[in-house]
Amino acid sequence: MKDIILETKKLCKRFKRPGGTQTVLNKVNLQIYRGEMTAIRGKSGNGKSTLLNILAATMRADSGKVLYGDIDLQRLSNAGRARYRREKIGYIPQNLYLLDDRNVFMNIALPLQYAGEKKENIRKKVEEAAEWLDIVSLLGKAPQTLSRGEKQRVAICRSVVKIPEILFADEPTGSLDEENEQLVLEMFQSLKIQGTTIVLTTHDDSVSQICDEVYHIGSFGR
Amino acid sequence: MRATRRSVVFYFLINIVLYILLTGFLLYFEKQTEYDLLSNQLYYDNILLIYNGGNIDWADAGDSEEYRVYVEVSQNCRALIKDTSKWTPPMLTGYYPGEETGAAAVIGQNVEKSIYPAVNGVQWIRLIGQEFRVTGVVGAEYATSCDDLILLFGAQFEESDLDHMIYIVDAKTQTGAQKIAGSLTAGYPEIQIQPGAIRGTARLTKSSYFYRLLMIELLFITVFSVYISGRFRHEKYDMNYKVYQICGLPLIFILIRAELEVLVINSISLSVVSGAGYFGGLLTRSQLENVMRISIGITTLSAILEAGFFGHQLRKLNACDRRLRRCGAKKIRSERL
Amino acid sequence: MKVIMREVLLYYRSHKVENIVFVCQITVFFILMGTFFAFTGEAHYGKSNIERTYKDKAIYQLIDGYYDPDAFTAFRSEPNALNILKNYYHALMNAESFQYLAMFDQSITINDVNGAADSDGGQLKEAEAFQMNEQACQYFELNVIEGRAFQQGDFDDNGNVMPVLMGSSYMNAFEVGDRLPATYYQKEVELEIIGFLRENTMIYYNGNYEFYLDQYIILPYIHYDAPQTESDESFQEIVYFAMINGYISISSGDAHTQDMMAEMEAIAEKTGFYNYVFIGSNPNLQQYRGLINILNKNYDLILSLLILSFLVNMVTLGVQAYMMQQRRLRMMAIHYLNGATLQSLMKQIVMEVLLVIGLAAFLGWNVLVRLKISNIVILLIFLMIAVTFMIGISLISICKLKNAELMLTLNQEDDLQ
Repeated sequence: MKDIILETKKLCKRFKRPGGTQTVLNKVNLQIYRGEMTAIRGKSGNGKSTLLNILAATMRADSGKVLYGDIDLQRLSNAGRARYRREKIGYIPQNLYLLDDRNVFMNIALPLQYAGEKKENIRKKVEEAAEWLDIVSLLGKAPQTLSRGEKQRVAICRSVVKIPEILFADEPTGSLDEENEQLVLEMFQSLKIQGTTIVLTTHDDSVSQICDEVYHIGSFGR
Repeated sequence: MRATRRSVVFYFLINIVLYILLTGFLLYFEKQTEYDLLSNQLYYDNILLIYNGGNIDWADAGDSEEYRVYVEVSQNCRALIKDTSKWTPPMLTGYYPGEETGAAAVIGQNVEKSIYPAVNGVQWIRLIGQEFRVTGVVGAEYATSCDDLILLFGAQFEESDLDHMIYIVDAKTQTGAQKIAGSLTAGYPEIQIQPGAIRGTARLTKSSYFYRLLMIELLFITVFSVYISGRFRHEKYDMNYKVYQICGLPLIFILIRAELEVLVINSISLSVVSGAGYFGGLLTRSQLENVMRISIGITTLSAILEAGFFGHQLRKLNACDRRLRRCGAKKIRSERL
Repeated sequence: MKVIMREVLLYYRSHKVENIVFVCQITVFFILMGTFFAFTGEAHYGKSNIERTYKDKAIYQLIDGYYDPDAFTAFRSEPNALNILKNYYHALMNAESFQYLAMFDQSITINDVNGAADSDGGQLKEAEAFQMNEQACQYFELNVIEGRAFQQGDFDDNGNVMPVLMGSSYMNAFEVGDRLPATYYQKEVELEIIGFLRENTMIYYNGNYEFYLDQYIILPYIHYDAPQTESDESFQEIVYFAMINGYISISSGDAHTQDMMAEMEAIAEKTGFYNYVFIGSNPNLQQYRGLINILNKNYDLILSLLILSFLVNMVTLGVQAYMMQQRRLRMMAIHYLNGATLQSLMKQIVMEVLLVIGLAAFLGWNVLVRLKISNIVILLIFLMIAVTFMIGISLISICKLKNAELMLTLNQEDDLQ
């Protein structure tokens, strides 16, 4: 029996635009199963990133429920949602968003810093994660000096360093070459084997083919 | 048609308020000078009293500094014998003789009430055995210390009289006064020079000290404000500049474009402030000229800073270029493409 | 808290130039405000001094009528002359319908042993001095910036030691407590410096409503005890003759003038001194009005410029701070994504604002102290402005943080609305 880790019920989200209100998600229902890789597909602007942000508790929907076990994330306080982000999930944004005021090591250590980890533990975990992703040589460098592929790996490292229960990735292979794309997918497979649930958005066939579940978001977010 | 950025409004706002502040200070300076003069019998606050100065040849005294030389006739009356400054006191009616030849006088309001009425539209005043044609009344619509003042022009004195009279040098700046004192002492060792007492608002409010301090602070604030807003504007357009470069536009054209934008923002800010000031009756024509000069200063500063920000980018580009050449890459001339 | 402080310091380190310039700008703003408040303080002080001294007042000069040297000598040769003078003076001092201001600018000779008062190191130096009675000191409210003002006891006979106040131009040459041997009306006295007057202390004297005491040594008119020797008596006669020449101040109005005249007649009758003369009839009114008009207008001008500068700078700094915080929102979003709470982000904003404004206020205050234009009022105003600024910027940024969809700011590279 598959275990549902995340579920949405009649999720709606609207944005105010200059021309009027745009409905991005309209009564979206989906289930994410523990230990599986789930893809959310759809054309650009159909609300994939918005849905991911709501699942990752970085944004609230206008109505509906987002259940993590039996906890509705929508009704959780800001502190609770922050705790969920800190302890349960990892997030790889589409544009990576590495902080350029610090080196790669400190970028990776960021979530551990907010989790209140001790210095020695932080060092140990960062080095372990960096070794796994083969980016130990990059730890002292500034993010601006890295290539796209290297940045991608650093962003992944940042999101997995605390060994999250759920990993969200927004277009993780969007602007990568074939080799790096393969590398990223292999890492995701490896994480899945270790028990991490992965939810990613993509409009790439090759990525959705290796996923256990694929959801399509059509126009107007249905 | 390029969409107007909301952020451009912020840059205009900062520019406009800066212009308002600088114009406000300009108006303040002129008014403060007027108050200082009106409360100090039309003296600046750098006065020298010269005794035994009968032998001084004022024609040789030098014109590099701005100053006026008077002979003191009485406590409220003095005769101008030399003027190297283009100076006009606050006039209530009439005009200040200035370059005019012949015996003339400007008087205070109280004096006007006590002299003979005008004959054929001309008033005369008789002093030191001579007649002086009154050309105007100094002062303001409210009572001032100049109301009993008489300034004489073209007065004739006997040489023997001049030996006993006190000469008063009224210099515009302190350094000017010091220079004049130095040169006179060197040329005429028999004279005695004493600094004159400052009176009125210049002394009571220490206006010249505070004014200098405020000017320095204002200069710093202007420079910092222009720097920060220029920096933000440059960073905001950074992506645009990168796109232009990708499309093949040389950096110099992008720089010219940026400088034109600086010019437009400053022109519009100047128009808004000077227009509102002039048509609102706050600024006169001559003050408008000063506001334009301020605007030229700020525009130049903004343009230099903009060029500096681009120069920083250019230095980075050149640094890459140099590193490449050290690695053996040769520069390809555009003709070979 | 450690995490927040670390983030704040990282931010400053990575945006050094921009933050230094911003701190400098706010520092100069504080200095500008401090300068303005000092300026308005000076203008207000000058204005209120003059208003207090001259407003609705009439001042008459009172002199003795002994112009003729023979008459003067004849009066002095009378056996009761000194008592008449003392009684007359005390009656003037105790008059009900007017204030008697005994003032004179009799110079004194100082035995300037150390050459402190003069660069040529002369031994005997004639110094400008000014004598005042207690009523004149109270009337003009002599403001002392170092040491103390005259007290009642200073006008009593303390032998040869005379407490004096010095004009501000003597501040670099002497200190409070210094004693100077001097000759006053040919009598050897010892001057003890009790204080220094504020710069530009001004009184009315000799038809001059702007008579400045900066270059003067102020001596009190002493109530001398009965003279012990003939030379004492001679000295006291000269001094009391000077003391009965002064100014009478009354409230404006014919009734007050008539009361004053009547009381003067009664005093003359009672003391036997009839030979007094009034000079002038409120000679200073026109000139005073001229000065006060301009001072009022000057004060209003400075105040207007202060308000304009304050508002303009608030707008400029506010907009710049807002633009800086806008940029920070993107960074905040990344932290938020990685587990930061909104609360910790708000604390970070507050900490950043606090450090910048606190540092600027501290630096600004130090500059004002060095310029010697600081006082407790300006310090309080500084604190008020700093707190208002801090609250204003923090609140705007926090509101923006709370209400913005942080993840949307990440995706907005460019704001085209």
